[in-house]
Amino acid sequence: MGIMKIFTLEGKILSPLISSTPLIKNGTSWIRIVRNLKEQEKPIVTYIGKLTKGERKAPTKQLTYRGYVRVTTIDRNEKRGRKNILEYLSKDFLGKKTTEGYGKIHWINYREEEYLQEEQEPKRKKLKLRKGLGPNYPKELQRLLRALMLHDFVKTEKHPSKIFQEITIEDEEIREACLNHHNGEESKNNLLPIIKYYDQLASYITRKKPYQTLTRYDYQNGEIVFEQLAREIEERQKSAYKLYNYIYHSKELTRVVEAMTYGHNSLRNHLLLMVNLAINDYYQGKVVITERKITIRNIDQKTKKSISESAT
Amino acid sequence: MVKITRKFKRIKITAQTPIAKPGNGHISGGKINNLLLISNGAEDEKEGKAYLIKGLRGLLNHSMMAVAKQKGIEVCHSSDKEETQSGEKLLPEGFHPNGACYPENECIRHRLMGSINKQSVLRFEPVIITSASRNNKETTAQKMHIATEKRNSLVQGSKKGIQDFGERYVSGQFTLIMELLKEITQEELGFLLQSILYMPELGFGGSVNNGAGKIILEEVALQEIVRTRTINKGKVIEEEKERNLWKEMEEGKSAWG
Repeated sequence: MGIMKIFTLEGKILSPLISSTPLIKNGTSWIRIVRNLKEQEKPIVTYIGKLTKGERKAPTKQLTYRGYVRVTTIDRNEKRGRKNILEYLSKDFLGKKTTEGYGKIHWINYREEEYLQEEQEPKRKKLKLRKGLGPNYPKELQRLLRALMLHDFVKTEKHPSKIFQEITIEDEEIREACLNHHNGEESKNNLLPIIKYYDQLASYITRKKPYQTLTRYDYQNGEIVFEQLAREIEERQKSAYKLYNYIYHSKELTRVVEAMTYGHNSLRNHLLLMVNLAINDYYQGKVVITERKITIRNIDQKTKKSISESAT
Repeated sequence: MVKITRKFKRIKITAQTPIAKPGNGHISGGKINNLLLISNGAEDEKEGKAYLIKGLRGLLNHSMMAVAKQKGIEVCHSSDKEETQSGEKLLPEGFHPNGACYPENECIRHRLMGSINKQSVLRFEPVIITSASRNNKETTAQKMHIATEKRNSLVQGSKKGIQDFGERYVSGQFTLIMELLKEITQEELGFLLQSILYMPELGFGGSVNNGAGKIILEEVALQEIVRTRTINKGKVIEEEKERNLWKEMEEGKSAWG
């Protein structure tokens, strides 16, 4: 078996080449029409055909390309590859309507090179929301997840509780982090920077199309009893598993909007997305537990800045 | 070293036009009827703009029809319709619709020029021109004088315009090359030569009734070409050897009569 080689023949288009696409496959070889031989820009398009009242109309209207043409073929067998590519060298015209003078080519260069295949990056897995939390999460991580799920149910500087009813959070550190997650002040609270980061990251991912709403939820489809909802969440605040399960199956939270300017995003999805992102980062080693303290490491300042800017 | 050779016959016509308006390009500002621009963008600006002359194939088509009619032979008309929707007849006497004779009783014009059902035996090379005022040696295009004729006229005693438009025109010497894709008979060759000689009687492009589109034939030659392409250090080098076939031309002329 020989080395994989790429055979290239390049030429200039003298008269417009009639083709429906700038990339044509002919047998084992590819014909690509480009604007310039140095860069792979799209070629210039011109329409030809009879002018009727200043316009070109069907059926004589045709799409043509101007620029340069590059013919390539890849083969291990040198003799066969050369034979395939040099068939084009005997041709003076390419494309359709060659008897009328369209598609005349002036061949310029020929070269043979070793073909190096570019390694393709493995496709990223699409993020899926977990149906439930996995077993045996460390307590520090569970505490973080609880904080992430509760952060929007208290009054902050920016917004009141998103379910209109404030929840009394028993854990002091979590409460402090949730209350101040929209403040610019620095504090010694361990959870605060992590909540800020995931809140901004989740909104950065989901906020694509802006849609202004005037109401926090669709009251036309029946009222939500927020007092009961707050009570249900309050009862489950000590267990991350119970809280996640409740939010996952909650029909009320799917109707509540996360931001008034992005009316299509639900609060349920926002909370679950934050939790799932944090769990994924924990498995990848971005979220680290050291001496009973949880921290994030290696966040680029650039990405952090861009995320926070877009989220605001 | 890679070497590719190809041998074929062609007819080379050298002609002159005092003024011709084969404008078929974009209409800039809705006022000037341009030639069809085919230059290659930013990189080729040094070479200057190149244009394509249109209408020469159609001119030969029509002169073939005229020659056949003179001799009383029925050939294809340029149109493939017999009548309009309202019943108005389009075909003059002595013609049939384009491609109607194929495949049985194929006429001489269809054998040469083809139709939608069959490819033509003649391959017309594009007549690509650049402005003669450009002092450029690298270009492969033919050099002709290119200019714009502007036509303005106002209503007497007012500033209201009746006409305000321009037309691009060309003038000078040019060569038209027809490659024979297949071997043709002597009769067909004679017919082809006769219709080439009839071309100056007609006009090509626009404004023919105003004196544009005249052709003065200077040379018509049947040639045998041996074209070789070689690759030297990655560059393609093209060479041509031509041989005039005067004897064959004479035989063709006498075969048509």
